[in-house]
Amino acid sequence: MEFEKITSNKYSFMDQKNNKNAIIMLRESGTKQVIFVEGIEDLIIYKILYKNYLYQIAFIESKGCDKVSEYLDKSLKLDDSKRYYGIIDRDFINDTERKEKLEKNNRLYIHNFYTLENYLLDYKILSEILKTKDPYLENNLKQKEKKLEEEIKFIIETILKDYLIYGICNWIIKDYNMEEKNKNPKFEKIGYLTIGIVKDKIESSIYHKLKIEENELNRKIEEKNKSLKFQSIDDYHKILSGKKIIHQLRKDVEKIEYLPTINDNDLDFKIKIAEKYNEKNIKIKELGDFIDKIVKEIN
Amino acid sequence: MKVLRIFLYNTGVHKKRVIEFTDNNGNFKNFICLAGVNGTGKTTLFDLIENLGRFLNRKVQLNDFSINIERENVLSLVDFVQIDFLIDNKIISVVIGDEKYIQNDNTKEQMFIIENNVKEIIRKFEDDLKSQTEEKNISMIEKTRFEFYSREFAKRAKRLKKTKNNKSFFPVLQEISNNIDKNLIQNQTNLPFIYYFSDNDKKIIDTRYKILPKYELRYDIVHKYSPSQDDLKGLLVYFDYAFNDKYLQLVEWINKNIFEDKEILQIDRPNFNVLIKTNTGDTHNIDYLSSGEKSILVILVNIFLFANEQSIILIDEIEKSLHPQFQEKLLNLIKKLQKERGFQVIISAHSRKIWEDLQEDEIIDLTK
Repeated sequence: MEFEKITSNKYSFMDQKNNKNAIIMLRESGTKQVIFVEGIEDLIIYKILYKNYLYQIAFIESKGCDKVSEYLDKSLKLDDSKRYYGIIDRDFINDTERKEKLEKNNRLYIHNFYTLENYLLDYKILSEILKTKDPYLENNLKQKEKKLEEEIKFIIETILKDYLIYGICNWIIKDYNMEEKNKNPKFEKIGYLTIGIVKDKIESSIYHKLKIEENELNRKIEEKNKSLKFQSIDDYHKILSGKKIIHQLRKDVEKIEYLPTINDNDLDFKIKIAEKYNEKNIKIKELGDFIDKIVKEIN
Repeated sequence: MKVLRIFLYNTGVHKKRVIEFTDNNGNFKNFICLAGVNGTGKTTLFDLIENLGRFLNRKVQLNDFSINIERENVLSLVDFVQIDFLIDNKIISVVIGDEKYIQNDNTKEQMFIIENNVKEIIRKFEDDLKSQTEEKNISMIEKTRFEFYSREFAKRAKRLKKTKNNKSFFPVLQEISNNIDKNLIQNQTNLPFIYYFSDNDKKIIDTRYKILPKYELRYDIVHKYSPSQDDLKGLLVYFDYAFNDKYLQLVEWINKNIFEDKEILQIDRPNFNVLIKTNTGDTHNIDYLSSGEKSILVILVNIFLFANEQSIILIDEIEKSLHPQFQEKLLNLIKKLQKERGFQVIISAHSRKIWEDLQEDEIIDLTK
C-alpha cells in the first residue's frame, strides 16, 4: 500500500531569500483560495479592492509576471492544488491571443487592460476623490462638479493618446525580442517620458536599440496601428501602462487651478482610488467575475 | 533517539500518509515544526509519539497511558500507525494495527514491536469506565477492575516480531527497561527519552510547601510534563538543598538567558519559596510571574536539565501565551541548546514569528 508522503519544504519552490514574506503569507493562508499577483503594489491594491473577500482569498506577492506563472504551475502539483490561482498583466497580446490563453488555463487570469492600475482610471471616481480633498474648496467645487469630471476625462484621454506611441513602440520591441535570432540580448521596453511627448526622441531611442531604418520603423508603427484598430478608449488601456498614466495624471491634475495640490505619491493616490472603489462597491467587470468564480469554487 | 517517520492509516484526520522527519537523503532532522490549520492532526502526531514511544519500555503497563472519560486515548482511534524510531543507528518500529500495512526500511537494521491488542483493551477499558462510573479520574476506579484490565494488558499478544538481526536490538531495549524508575537526577545517563510539553500544561502551579519538597524525576522512556507532578518551584527548592552546584549553574543560565528585567534572586529557605527580583528592586514570589514567563521557564529549565543527545523534545503550540519577542527568545534558546546537545526537537506552531525564524526545510505543513 502506498502512503502519501508529507515532508517539509512544501513551499520551497518559492524564493526563500528574497520573498520569504510570501511563503509566510502562503502558510498563513491555511485553506483559503490563493491568488498569486505580480508585485507589492498590486498586492496592496487587490487587498483594498477585495477587502470583503479576504477571509476567503489570500493574495500573494510573486515579484513579476514570470514568477506568477511559475509559482502557479508548481503549486498545482501540491496536494491542495485546487486552491491556487494567478493574475498577470496583459503585456502586449492581442484579443485573440488573450482569449486563447484564458481558455487554455482558467486558473491564470490575464487582465483585459495592460495593468491593474488601468482599471482605476474612472474619471467620475477620480473627480469625487479630488473634489473632497479640501473642505474649504468643496462648495466651490460642487458648482464645478460637472466641469471637473469633464476635465479629468479629457486629461486621461489626452495622456492615453499622447502616450500611444510608447505602447506601439514597446510592442515592436517585444515582437523583436520574440524572434529567435534576437533573443540574446533582449531589449528593455522604453520608459515613458513625463515631460512632454517627443515623438522623435522615442523613435531615435528605438533606432538606437533595434538598429532598424527609419522607413522600416515607420512602416512597423503604421502596421501595428492598423492591426490594433483603436475604436474606443478601452483599446488604449490595453497597451498602455496604467502605472504611468496615473503618474502623469497626478502631475496634470495639479495644473487645474481650482484644485488643491495633491501631496500623495503614486501609491497613496492609488490606495485612495481603490478605497473609493471598495466603498462604492464598484465591480471591475471581467476581473470581478474571475474573483467571484474563485470564491464560488470554495463551495 | 530520533523519530524518522510516522505511517498512518485511518487515524484521526490522517487517512493514508507518512509524515517524514528526514531529509531527501534519509537523514533524520534535528528540528521540525509542524504547521497547519486547526484540525490537521498536529496534536494527534504528538500524542502518538508519546503513546507509541512508551512501548519501547518492555515493562509497559496500563497505567502508563492516560485514560479518562473526558478525552479518548489516541490509541483507541488508530486503525494503523507505525513510528520508526532511530536508536543507536538501528530502527525500532512500533506498530499498532494490521501487520499487512507494515513498512520496511531497507537502509538500516530494523525490528518491530507490534501491539495489536492494545487498542481493543484501551477501548474496552474506556467504555467500561464510561458505563460504570461518574468519576472522571482513573484513580477512582475500583481497584479490581483496573487490575483486571492490567492483567489483560500484560497478556497482550507477543510483542516482538523478530527480524534477522533482532538480537542486536535487545541490549538497547534491555537498558531502557532496566533503568525505568531509577532516579534521573542522580543517574545522568544518556538513555533514550521523550519529553512532551502538551499545549495546555506549560504552567507552574501555586504550591505552598510546609516541608522541603522532594523532587524526583524518575526515568521513563516518555515523560509528559505535568504542572502538579513536575512543579518547577519544588524542583528549584529541592535543587538548592540537594544539588546546590547544579542549582547555581541553572540559575546563572536562567538569569543570563531568559529574563531581561528580572532575575531569580534566591530560595527563601524557611518558606520553601523562589524569590524573583525585578529591575526596580522589588522582590516577589515565582508564582507571580506571567503565564508566558512561566511557560518559557518550564520548557527551558527542563530541557536545560534533562535533554541529551538521545532525547526527543515535543512541544505542542510552542507560542501559546507568548509575546512575539518571547517566542523569538524561546526558539533561539532551544536551537542553541539543541546544537550543543544534539537532541531532536519537534514543535507545532501557528505563529508567523516562529515560521519567520525557521527554514522551509524545518517546517512540515499538514494543511490539505
